[in-house]
Amino acid sequence: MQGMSTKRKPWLLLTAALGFLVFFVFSQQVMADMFSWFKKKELQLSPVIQGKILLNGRPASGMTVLRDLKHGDDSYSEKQVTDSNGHFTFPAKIIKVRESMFDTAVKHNIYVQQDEIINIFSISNLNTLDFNSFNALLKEMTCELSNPDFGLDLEPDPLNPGIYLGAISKCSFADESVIKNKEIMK
Amino acid sequence: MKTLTPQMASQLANAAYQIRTAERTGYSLGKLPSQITNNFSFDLSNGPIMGVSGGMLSRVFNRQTGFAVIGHGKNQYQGDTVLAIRGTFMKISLKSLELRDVVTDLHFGLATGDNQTRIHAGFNKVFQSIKPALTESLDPLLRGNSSGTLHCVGHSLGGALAHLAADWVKRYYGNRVCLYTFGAPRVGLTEFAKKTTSTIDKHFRCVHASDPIPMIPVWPFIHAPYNKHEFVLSPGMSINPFAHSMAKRPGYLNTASGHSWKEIAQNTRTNAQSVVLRYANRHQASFSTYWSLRITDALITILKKAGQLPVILAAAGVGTALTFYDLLARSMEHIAKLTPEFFEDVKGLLGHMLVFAGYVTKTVADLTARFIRWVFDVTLGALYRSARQAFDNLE
Repeated sequence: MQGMSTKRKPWLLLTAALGFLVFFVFSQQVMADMFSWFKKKELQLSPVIQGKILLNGRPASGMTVLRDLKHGDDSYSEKQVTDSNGHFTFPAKIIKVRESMFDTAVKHNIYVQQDEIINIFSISNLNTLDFNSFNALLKEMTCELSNPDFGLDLEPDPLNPGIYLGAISKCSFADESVIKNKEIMK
Repeated sequence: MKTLTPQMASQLANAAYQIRTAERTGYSLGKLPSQITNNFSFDLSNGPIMGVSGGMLSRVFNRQTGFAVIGHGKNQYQGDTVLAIRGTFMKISLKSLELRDVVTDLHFGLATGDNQTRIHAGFNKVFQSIKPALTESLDPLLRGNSSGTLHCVGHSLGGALAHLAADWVKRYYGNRVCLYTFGAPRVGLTEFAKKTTSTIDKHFRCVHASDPIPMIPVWPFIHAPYNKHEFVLSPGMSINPFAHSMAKRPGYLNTASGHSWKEIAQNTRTNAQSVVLRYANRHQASFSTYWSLRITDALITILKKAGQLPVILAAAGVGTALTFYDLLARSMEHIAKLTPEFFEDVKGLLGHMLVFAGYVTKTVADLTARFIRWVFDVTLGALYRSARQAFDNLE
């Protein structure tokens, strides 16, 4: 009996060690998967924006332009004043967010503050706005304040064809190749 | 009866997220795809339907947020109404705790819902808190107009609330109701599932195979429509919290972007099927939605075969989770002693549960109620942990 049990022991140990190894590797992989969303990631809420404000065809200088960015409950507002040519520019806005399984509303609105507040550009989506179509529009825009609001259907992201990308704006854009359809909003 | 296309339903569930808070110029759904704006118009001049959601802090400060929006049908959908309810929005504050608990509470509490069946206490509480505002908005539209269809749409918690709203509208106003949910958790026990299956005219329950939220709360909660198919829009074996998202890949917006419900279903699954698990094959199990459902089916199969299912289901409706699982463990111990065949069935089930929960090397020897109870604990623990970890990350 004694002999048998010592004979068996190395096998038992080996099996246990192997079992532990398999479990360890497996659990490490699971852990890696489980905690990958704990990391914070950079998220671009807005690229650099170059814009020009016109009123009845003429450059509108000294206009206050507001950019409101929202990621869930977090808001980021910035203010610029147009120069003598009606130009304004906003820097890119990048924030750090945690990955989550839940969806967060993200919004990007540009306003001009006159007597009243006029919304000149508006996009929204879940989780991110960093799509080629949105970025192309924001790169360079010219906004005639007397324009009506246009609804824009944009090229979807090839990786997420189901995500509808649309914008509401009074502006025209240097790169309109991403606009599939443009019509006055009712 | 007209139904929404998958694309319309998913886009509406998505749009409901945008009405949580107002912009400088008021509330807006943003630019919607033309298939929605051609068929429904939304008047947000008085804001969306508001409610206080979340926990105590929100109530103390009366922080109201928009949670639902109503659209009026036109053209093809003339006379119809659409109700889109926002999904869970979590934030780093105490108010997230309550919703976290609603979805991930292992020790579920039950309440009697509007249709006199037992449902999740948390969902019932949230629904009761939004009902007055819902009534105020729906009354002018539906009272005296029972010919139009109400289309209820929602993702995640919004799906669970849309489910309760659809059932309530049908019984309160008598209108035809269609329900479209994406990644919605289960709302109630068997009686609730059966009852709403008969009241709700059409129910499109869309899930991703890897999305953990539609699997919880676990049995004895079951999904509705009862003994009818749910639409599995993306296949998968593993559990992946990101598969819950509307917009992140696979993303319900992508998987439900088609125009016909038949087209988009990769697969369908129904409630319990007869499953017997052999102990020797337990290492085939893995921590996946597939095995979670299979293990549940095997458990139900044993209870049915032993004639214990009605007793257990009746007990589920009256007790707490703690007493329920105690009872279930005692019942399993009893069943295992009946015949050698039952012993093997129970042993096979427990073996699979252990492997599912990551206890790969643990063997099943004695089938005492105490051991069985422990196996239930680790299995449920593993399942709820995957959902809870995603919430914890937000705090």
